[in-house]
Amino acid sequence: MTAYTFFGCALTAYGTPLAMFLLTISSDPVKIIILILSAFFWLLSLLLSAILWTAVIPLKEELAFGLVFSVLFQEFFRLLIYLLLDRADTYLKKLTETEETQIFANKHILAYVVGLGFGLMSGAFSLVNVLAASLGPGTLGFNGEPHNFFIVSSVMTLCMILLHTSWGVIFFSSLDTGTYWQTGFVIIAHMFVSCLSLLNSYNSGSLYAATILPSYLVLVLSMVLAVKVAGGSLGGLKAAVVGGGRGNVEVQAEQ
Amino acid sequence: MTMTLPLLPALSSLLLLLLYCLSVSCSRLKEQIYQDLDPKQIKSCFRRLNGTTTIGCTSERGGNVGVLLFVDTIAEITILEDPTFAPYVVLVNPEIYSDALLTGLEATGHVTGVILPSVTGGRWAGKVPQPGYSDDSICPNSATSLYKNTSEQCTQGSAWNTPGSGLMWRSFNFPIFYLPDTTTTEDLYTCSLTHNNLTSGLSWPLCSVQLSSNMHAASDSQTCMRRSNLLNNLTPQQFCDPLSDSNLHYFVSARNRTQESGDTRESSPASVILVSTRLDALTMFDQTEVGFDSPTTGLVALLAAAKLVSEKMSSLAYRDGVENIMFLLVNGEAFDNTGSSRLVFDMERGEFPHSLDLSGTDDFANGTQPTLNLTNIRTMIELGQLSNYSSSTLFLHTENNPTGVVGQIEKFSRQNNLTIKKATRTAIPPSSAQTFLSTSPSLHTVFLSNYDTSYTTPVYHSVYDTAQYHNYNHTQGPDQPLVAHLAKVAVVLAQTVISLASEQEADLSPDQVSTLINELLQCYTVSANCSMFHEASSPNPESFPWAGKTVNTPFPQYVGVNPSPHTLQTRKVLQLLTGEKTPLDQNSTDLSDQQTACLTKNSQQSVYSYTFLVGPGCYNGSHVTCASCYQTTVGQSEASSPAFTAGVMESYDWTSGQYPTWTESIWKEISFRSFLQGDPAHDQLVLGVGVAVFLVSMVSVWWVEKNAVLIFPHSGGDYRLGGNLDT
Repeated sequence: MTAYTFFGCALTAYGTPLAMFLLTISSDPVKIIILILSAFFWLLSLLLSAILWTAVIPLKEELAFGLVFSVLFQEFFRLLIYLLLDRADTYLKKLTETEETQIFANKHILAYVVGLGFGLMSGAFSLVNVLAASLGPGTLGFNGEPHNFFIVSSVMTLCMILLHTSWGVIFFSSLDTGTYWQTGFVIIAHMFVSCLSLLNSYNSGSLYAATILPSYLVLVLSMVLAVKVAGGSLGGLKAAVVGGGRGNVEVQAEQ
Repeated sequence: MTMTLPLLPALSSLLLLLLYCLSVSCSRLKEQIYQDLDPKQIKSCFRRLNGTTTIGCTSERGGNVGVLLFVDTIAEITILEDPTFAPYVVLVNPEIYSDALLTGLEATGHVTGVILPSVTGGRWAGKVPQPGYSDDSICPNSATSLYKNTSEQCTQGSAWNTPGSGLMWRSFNFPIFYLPDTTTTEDLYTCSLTHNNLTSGLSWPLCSVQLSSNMHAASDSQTCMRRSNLLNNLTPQQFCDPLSDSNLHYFVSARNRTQESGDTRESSPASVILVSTRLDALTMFDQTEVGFDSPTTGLVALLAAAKLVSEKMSSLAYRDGVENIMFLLVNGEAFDNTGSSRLVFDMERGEFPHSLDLSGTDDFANGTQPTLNLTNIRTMIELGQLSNYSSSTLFLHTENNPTGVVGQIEKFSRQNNLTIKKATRTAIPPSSAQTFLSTSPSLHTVFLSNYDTSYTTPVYHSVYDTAQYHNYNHTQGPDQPLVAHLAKVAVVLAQTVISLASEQEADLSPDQVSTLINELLQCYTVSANCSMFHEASSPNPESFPWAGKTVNTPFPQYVGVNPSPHTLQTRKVLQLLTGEKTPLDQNSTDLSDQQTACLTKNSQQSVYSYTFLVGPGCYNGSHVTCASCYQTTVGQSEASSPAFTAGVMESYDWTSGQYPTWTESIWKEISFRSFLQGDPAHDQLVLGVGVAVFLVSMVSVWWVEKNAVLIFPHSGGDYRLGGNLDT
């Protein structure tokens, strides 16, 4: 439906991740590299899912089958990149000695960047096809499809990107500290949101509310957990809101 | 920083993403949104130019999008004046398609395209506009008419083509598509009825279409040719091409310039009897130019007469003063007599049938033809429209009192039971004869046609001039009235010509050619997949009709910008009908070897043209079993306008109207797709939402980043702030 829809949907889906990239990652070249590395790992998981889909010919039409294994592969590759970065930790620290980067000092920043990388690549794949179709003069609806398909797709994509980011933080922290219930939470939440999206193709769009609202609920949950795990606190948030902007830490003066 | 390693696989995987996207899944969404039409099903009106104007249609570069509305009567145009849902693309009831309709549509200012459905079946079957329709003007070729500015000129009151709409010669800034497939037009009609219901009021989303037929040429021929010939570019771009094809000629007797004694001789004055007709048709829409009454009836009659004359004259001697008979098929006549202008031009320069520039080459070491010009022509007989759709009377239009010819025609018509009348209108109709007469005003001319003061066919030069309209059916055999009538005309013509040439009466009967005429009518107006075209084709297994997709439509009879299959095939038919089988001096049974041997006979001489054709009884289905080499005196000559020849083009005054200057625009793609168009307000809302989300997220993320230290006080990492703060 014309360029308006194209830019509107693109900005809705990629606006927040773009802001995150511009403001928190783009200034640090090492973060950019780790971002791209993690995006590549997500691509590898997609490759594996595609191979499985091609190989298992009888179940090709069953979207659910491909979807379930895709979730499992994505989480598996999240584990792989965690292991890679963990093993290479000392070497990477040495390599970036001369760089002014905090990424290997603060594990949560690393996890955040990895999660965002996963999310960006996943978001790209979800939406680029839809965006390309939205550029022309036509819209869906000939066979009763819903008219708000494009905006709903963008909203779901935004949700997934932010979810991946949060899950990255939770996943890495859970493996660092050994709190494996959080690892389980990530996998189950991912499976839940993905399977929920299967409902989108039914009843020509009337179930959109039933998929978007729970997904955003899971997003809020995951973000809260991620902030908590990264050391955030409600008190800190209040302090920032009230007297924010000073950017200095109050340290106990030595007596 | 040597950390570029992860970038390479990332980039290559992005490439994989693109390839994956392009191959399979990305098109499925597009397929759900758009319904594309096969480009071969689209017959579009396209742009042509001449020395002063542009005619035809074009679309915007990306195509014209419009809400699809069906207009049933001219009164309904008022709906289109509503700008709320504009612009519109109009699907018209074929019955109302006319000059008045298109003028009305243009005047609304909201029409970006017109779709004309076909009348061959479906909802609008048989709904030809009444009382007739023609794309051409009421006075065809009036710009180059012999009678321009005289008392006999064609005017509104004395028009040759009364149903003429003149739409062919108008310029539209929106595309007009003719869709011959009735299923497609029915689907479009249903779509517009379902989604764009006018009775309940229009509301988004609406069924819309996009018509794409962007033409590259603009302004006029001179500008366009100048732009196409710019030499200052590494990638030169062509914008238009001059209309050009070939004229065909057949000399009944071989003409050799060199006599046995070794002297050369030229043609004697007034020694050639000329019989001619047109090869081309005209419509507004690309690839639909098939005309039953004009030119096919005349063409088929001439081919049959040529066959009869060639057979008889091989055993008769010419009378004193006559040396030859020439059958001429002129191309491009619909465009201000392009072919005949070029023919006359070549004749005047001594370059007909070909240039005799013999200096330094031995191209013609073994024989060449003498040149022919207008002084060598004794009489001209031209065939016009001959169908007996309205009446079986044949009318004679004459110029310069050719009483001898007229007398012979009347005699043989009596013998063959053909009704002949002298036309009451003194002017000769628009024809190639007018071009000949303008250069040679005293030429004895006879024009044969089925009309007197104005055309009797109501569908001259339109998509409706079809076999179906004239009730021609091949299966009814050679005895059907139309075929019998044309056979009589061919016989009368042949007997007249033979009598004029040899003063002998030939005993010919219409039965000799009625089967041939039936076959030829089938080939030219119903389907090119016919027995005559199979016989008159080269046995090459990679060429038509032995290879490629089976065609089930006739070849378009448009002059075009390249040699057309229509002209090529007609030449082969003429060669087959009038040629003699010659033995080859080699005994290979391989057809391609024989073909090479046959075609090498063409080298170094221009008296005969040799061609290797399958011939009758030499094929079985799509399998060739044998073929023969034919020695013929058929030739062709260039039919493009003299204005485009090398010597003339540089200094030609394009506004003078001395020669026709028609060119055809070049275009890249012609496409059509239908889809549902959404509410523009919805689009703007989505953009607003996107911008808002982006701005809000920029502000939020900036705020969180600034206060990160406060919000994450226990993140437990080393901070290098300043350097003197260490936990």
